[in-house]
Amino acid sequence: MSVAMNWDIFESESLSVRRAQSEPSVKAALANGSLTLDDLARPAGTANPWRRLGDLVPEWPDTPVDAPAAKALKMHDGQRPATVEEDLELVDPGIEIDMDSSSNLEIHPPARTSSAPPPTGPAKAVSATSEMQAMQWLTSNSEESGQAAVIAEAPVSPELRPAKAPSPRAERWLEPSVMLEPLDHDGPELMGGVVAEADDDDEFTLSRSSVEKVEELDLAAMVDVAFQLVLFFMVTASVTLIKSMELPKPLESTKPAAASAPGVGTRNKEEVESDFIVVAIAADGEIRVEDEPTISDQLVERLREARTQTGKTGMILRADNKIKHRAAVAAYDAANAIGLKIAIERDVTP
Amino acid sequence: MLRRESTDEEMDQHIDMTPMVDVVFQLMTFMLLSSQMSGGEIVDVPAAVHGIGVEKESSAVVILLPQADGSANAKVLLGDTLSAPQASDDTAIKRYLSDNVAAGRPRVIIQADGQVEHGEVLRVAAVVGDVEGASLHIAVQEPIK
Repeated sequence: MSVAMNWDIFESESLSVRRAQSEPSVKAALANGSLTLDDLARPAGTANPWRRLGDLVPEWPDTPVDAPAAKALKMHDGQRPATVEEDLELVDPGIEIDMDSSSNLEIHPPARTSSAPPPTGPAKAVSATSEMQAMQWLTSNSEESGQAAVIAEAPVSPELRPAKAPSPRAERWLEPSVMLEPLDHDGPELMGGVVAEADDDDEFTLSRSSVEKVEELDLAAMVDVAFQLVLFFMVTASVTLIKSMELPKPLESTKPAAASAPGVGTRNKEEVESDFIVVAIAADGEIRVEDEPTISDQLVERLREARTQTGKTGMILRADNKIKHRAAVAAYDAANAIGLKIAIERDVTP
Repeated sequence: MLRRESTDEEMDQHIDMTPMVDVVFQLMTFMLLSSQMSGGEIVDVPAAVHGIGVEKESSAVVILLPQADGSANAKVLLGDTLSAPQASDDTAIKRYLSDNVAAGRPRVIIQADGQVEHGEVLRVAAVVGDVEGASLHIAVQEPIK
């Protein structure tokens, strides 16, 4: 009588692994249908080959199979043999498996075929590893092509024509997710119809071990270059901008005072006053816009009103030579604020 | 696809530098656009809201300073520094400007102190008008906020 142990269960349907499952829990799972007898198991934490639950459960001692589990053992699949012994016979190495042109799988027990070797003993003597042997037999027949899938293309023997519908469980042996793996690939070793890892049993996976990862562009060098460029431009940028306002050149004037403005040239006083708003600044600082006194803070508003009233598009500054340059610039700035052209009248009287 | 449910793939420990690059370029753009234009460092030129930036290297600068003795005539310096030679008369100013125009510096920037008389600025501006190919600019500075 052996001691009850835990098992790692591989679910064939979901392709997932339940680890360290106790025997009662496995039987309960069989009973409620979450596990099937075709699912695989192996001792927990080992790298032993996987075995079918249908083969293992009857070997477990002192834990009689519950009625639903026993029913599941017998009624799991209507196409499969009714007993475990017949189930094992199905995967006996002596069986013949052929595919007809429509890829239907045919399985003949050794006694019904003329080419298969005779059975070596009664069905009850077949070991539980017969499935492994069957798998090895299946794969060894396809070694020439290197692909297990070539089994489906094997020549059909006339004497092995189908006698019954293919077994769903036998079809599962040839599921592409399991059987189409190349036999000589570098990935996990193909054993017992599933892929088992030879050296690392803690990380069980059916996915390919080497996952290609997309290399991301390393931006570190780009950031370095960007900073270098910033520093370069900051240090070497010797361009110094001087804020200034462009003014027309006051040309030599004649009496009475003449003025200059962009595109105006030298014209007499009357002609200039017809197109420009006259801003006069007296020596004492008094500001007059179109002969109306104003103050410096209201110069912009006053110029806007004058432009609206007269329709003139420019400003001519008629300032005394004794005023401060700051006051003249304030007048220029006020004209620029509302988009007026600027003209400068230079009084050349001594 | 056969995939492991419990993903214990190794974490990608690379720092995502995309936001950093974005910030760098934003800083670069900000610094390029927000650079203050000079103009009032040497001479206390008048303040004005409106103005354009003129490259100092491609301009001829004339500095006008009030005389220390309070006389009406301004002190005219032919250059962009306070140690520039002082112009003795309008002929010297015209020669200086003509040389700069011939050297590819047609813009003439008058950096006049705000206390200089308006007539003195117009006198130099008239000399600028006599130089063929020269354009007149009056230096201003940003108003104090």
